[in-house]
Amino acid sequence: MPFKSSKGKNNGKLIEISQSDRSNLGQNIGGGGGSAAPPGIALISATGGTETTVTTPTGKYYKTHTYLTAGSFTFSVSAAEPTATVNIEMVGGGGSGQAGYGDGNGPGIGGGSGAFSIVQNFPVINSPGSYTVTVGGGGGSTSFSGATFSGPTVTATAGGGGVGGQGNFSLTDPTGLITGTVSSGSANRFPPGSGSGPGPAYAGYSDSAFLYPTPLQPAGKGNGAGGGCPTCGPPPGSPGGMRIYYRVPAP
Amino acid sequence: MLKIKILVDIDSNISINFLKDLINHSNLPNAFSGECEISVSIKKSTNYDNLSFGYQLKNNNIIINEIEKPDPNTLYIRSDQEFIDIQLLELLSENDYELIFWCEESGKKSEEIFTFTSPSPYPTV
Repeated sequence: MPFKSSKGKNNGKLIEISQSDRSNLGQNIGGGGGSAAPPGIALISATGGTETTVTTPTGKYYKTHTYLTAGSFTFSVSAAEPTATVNIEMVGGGGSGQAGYGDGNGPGIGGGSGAFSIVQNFPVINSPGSYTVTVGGGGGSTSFSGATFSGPTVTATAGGGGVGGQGNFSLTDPTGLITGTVSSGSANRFPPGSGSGPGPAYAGYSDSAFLYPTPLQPAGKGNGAGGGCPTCGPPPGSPGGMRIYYRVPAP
Repeated sequence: MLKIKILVDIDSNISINFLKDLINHSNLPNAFSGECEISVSIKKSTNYDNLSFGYQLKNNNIIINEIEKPDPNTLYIRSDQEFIDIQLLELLSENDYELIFWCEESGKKSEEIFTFTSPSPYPTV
C-alpha cells in the first residue's frame, strides 16, 4: 500500500550549517575519516548492527547497518545534519509451518513469510540519537514476530508471518516528518502445502522493490508445512531482518 | 520439513568451529528437499581488518553451492550481531555433504572441512 506524504517537508531545515562545518562533521562520518559530503548528502555518523561500507558501480558510497539476529538492538546516531535521513528495509520473521492434521498424515500448511517493507527518507536526529531495532524471530505455529524500527518520533513495523497467515506493515508518524516514499510489500498468502512447500522468501518481495542491490535473504522466510509426524511440530520460520543505509562521502 | 542448522563460529584468532544442530524433522515426500541453515558467527567486537569468509558445499564431490563474503565492493567494518551472515541451502535427505569453510582477516587465513549426512525423513529413523 504505497503512499507519499509531503507533510512537514521543511521541518528539517531548522539549522543552517556552513560548508566548513560540514567538512568537520565529515571527518568522522562514513566508516572512518571521510571527506566532506557532496552537496545534497546530509551527513550521518552512526553505529549498530553489522556495519559495512559499499561502493556502487556508479561511484556512490553507502554505509549499511544490517541486523540478522533476532532480538532488540540499538542504532545509535552520534552526529547528523538537520536534514539527515536513512532508508530502511525490514522483514518480519517467517511463520512456522503447521503439522498435518488428523493423525499427522493430513496436509499441513506452509508458514507465511514476514512482511517486507521499505521506508525511504526516514529522518534521524542525534539528540536523542538512540533508535531501537527489533528483529522478530521465526514464528511458531500461531505467533507473529515482526520487525520494528522505532525512534523518538516515528515507528515502523513489518509484521511477521503466522501459520497460514499474512505479514503486515504499519508506520506511525505522528509528526509527519516522513517526506519520502513508504512502500509496503503486502504479505503474500502462500498456497497451502501438502506436507511441503515453505512460503516465499519475503512477503511482497520483488527485485524492483529493493533499493539496495542485494536482498536481505534469508530473513523472513516462512517455513514449510509439517505433515505425517503427529509428535513433532515443524520448525519455526527464519528470523526477520533489517538493513539501514545512507549515502556517505567518499572515503 | 527438515532443517539443519550449522553454526560456523570464528573466534578472535580466526579459528573456525562447526556446530551442527538438527532442529526438527517430520514426514517428507519422496522428492523432499530439506533446508540447511548456515549461520556465521564471528566472536570479535573490535573493528574488522579486511575480513572475508566463504564456503563451498559439496555433494558427491560436486560443488552445489559456493559463496564469498563480503559482496563485491563491500567492506566489513564491525558488528554487534551474533550472526554476521545467514544462508539457507536446499539439501536432499540421506545424502553426504562436505562443507569447506574459510575465513581470512589481517592476512591470516583459516580453513576447515565439515562433513555431515542429512537426516532421514520421519518415520524411517
